[in-house]
Amino acid sequence: MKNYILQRLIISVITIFVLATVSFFLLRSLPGNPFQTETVLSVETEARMMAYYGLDKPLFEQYLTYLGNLLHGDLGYSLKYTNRTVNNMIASAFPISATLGLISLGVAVPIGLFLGIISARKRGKAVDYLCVFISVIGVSIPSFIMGSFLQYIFAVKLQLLPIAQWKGLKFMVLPTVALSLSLLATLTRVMRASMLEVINQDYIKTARAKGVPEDKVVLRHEIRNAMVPIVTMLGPMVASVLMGTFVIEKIFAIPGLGQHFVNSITGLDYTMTLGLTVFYGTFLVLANFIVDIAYGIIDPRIRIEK
Amino acid sequence: MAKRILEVKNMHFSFYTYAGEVHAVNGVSFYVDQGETLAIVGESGCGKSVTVQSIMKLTPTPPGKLKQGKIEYMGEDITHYTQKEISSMRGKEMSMIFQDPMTSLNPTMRIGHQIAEGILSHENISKEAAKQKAIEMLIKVGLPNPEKNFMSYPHQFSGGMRQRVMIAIALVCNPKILFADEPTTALDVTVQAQILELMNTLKREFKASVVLITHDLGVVAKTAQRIAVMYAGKIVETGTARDVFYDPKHPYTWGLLDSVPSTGAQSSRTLNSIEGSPPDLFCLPKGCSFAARCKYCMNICREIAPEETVMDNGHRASCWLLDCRAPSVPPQKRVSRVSKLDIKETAHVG
Repeated sequence: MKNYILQRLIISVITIFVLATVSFFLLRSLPGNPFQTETVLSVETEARMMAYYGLDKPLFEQYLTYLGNLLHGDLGYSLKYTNRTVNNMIASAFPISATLGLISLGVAVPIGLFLGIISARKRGKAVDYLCVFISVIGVSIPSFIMGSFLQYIFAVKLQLLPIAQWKGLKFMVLPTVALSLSLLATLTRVMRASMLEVINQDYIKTARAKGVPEDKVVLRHEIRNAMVPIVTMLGPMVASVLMGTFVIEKIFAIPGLGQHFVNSITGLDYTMTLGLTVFYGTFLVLANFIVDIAYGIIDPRIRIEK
Repeated sequence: MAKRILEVKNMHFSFYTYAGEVHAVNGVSFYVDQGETLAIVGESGCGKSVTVQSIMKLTPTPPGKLKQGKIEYMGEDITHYTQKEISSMRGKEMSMIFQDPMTSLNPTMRIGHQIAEGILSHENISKEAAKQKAIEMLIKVGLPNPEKNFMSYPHQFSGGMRQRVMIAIALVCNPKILFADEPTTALDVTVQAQILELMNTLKREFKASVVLITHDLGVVAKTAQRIAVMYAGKIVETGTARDVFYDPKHPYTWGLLDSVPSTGAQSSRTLNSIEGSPPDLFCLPKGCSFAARCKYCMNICREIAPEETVMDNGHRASCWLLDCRAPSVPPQKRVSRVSKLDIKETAHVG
């Protein structure tokens, strides 16, 4: 087990290194520079700005400097927000996105799995059609429509909840609903499919044949075996949700991380884009690592030998 | 006389699919006495598995439905038992071994727990006691290192070992009747013999009756006292192993016996088979189901399904050839090579 973790750690570091390198050069191969905006700067000012951020040096030298800083966990200064480091910006925006993401997952995972299980158990009945309907709605309605719709009903018409911003519990309700609905839809779909497959397996028949009561057949034999695809999916899902969602954060005016992903790339904010990429990458690698461990707990066939 | 454990009378079982009604079982009757082995023989898709699985109510309903018939267990009518009622009998009164040991064990559960789970479902004993019982059972089915195997997972076992585990699961609560649904079909030939031997030994030890489903007549010859030959959801011939092997009455049984490949030096080079394929279970012919493939088919066979003719010693067959007006078929034309089957007299235990 120790060896395995060590091995995974080394692979993770290499992955992140490759990610940082490839992103760095890809980003730099884009045309233009961060200081070419609508307000045209004079040639001298632009050159001074480039020099100030060290962007005038040879590309490879910049790369080495970047890697050096990365080793210390320093992601550098943002090129767009004056006097703010990327670390600092992530530190202030990430907790907000993560809170919204965690609450949404907390709502979506149990409900999604439950609906998936019910739907598969009652296949072809009204309950099943209802669950499938909910999941199709959740998957096919884009979050900006769902978000606006919720705002219109609950904030404008009923005036029950604040329409936007992030200032306390009440403000969290609508974005959570909007975000969890789409997550829940995916989870329901996958869980239903997985359950349907497991239900027809021979070992379920064996369990019944030895007289195991129905509730225990479902709990011990069906659900547990049906969880494997869910766990696979959950790793990347958690990572991406915690990183914030551009659309929902934009609609509800939440100062989360999502907006930075979009703004930094359109504004060619090199350091910010790279910083976010590396941060997300690290997070994803970590999430997948946890998934691999969780696999072993659920399914001994994929368990790592000690 | 041995005690009657199970009796099935005129069972009809159908599956209702989008394409229509599949008549899987069409009027099957048989009985099993204490301590005996009844073999149900027939080719794939003739309704053998559905018959036994619907006795234990393991066939999903819907789409399946028991349309008609009566199932009696120890004199008690269990035909209309609910899932809950039948569930308390499964494993304890009757259990089942399935065809494919590779998929019949839960991959995420330890072997021992899968055995102990059955015990804990029926007996009010501590987990520790159940574990002890499971370990004893592992020894009985011939798995070495029971303590270690208790904690193993199915993927660490070979097919033969898994089938031993399945037998352990099936017999751990001492059921009176064991349905073995092609228990050796998925195994190597060498392992097949071991598993059959084990089943026979344990059957005697537990004084259980066995309903063995198979299409392998070699397996039947080694284990069964009585045989029921099934075709298109009906039992076309039934009787003691001796009668069915040495004095078969139904042309389908003749065909089956003739299809057994032989290995002797003077054996013919061609493999015999029954021409054609079983009827479509969506719409069964109105006459005898076997008529289309039967070499001795007469006009009446296509029109009216034959009644069962009872001969001595409980030997029964449903064929118009047994009618007194039918022409007789000389025995040597029926089955050419019965002798190649190694039939030993199996003592009737009970």
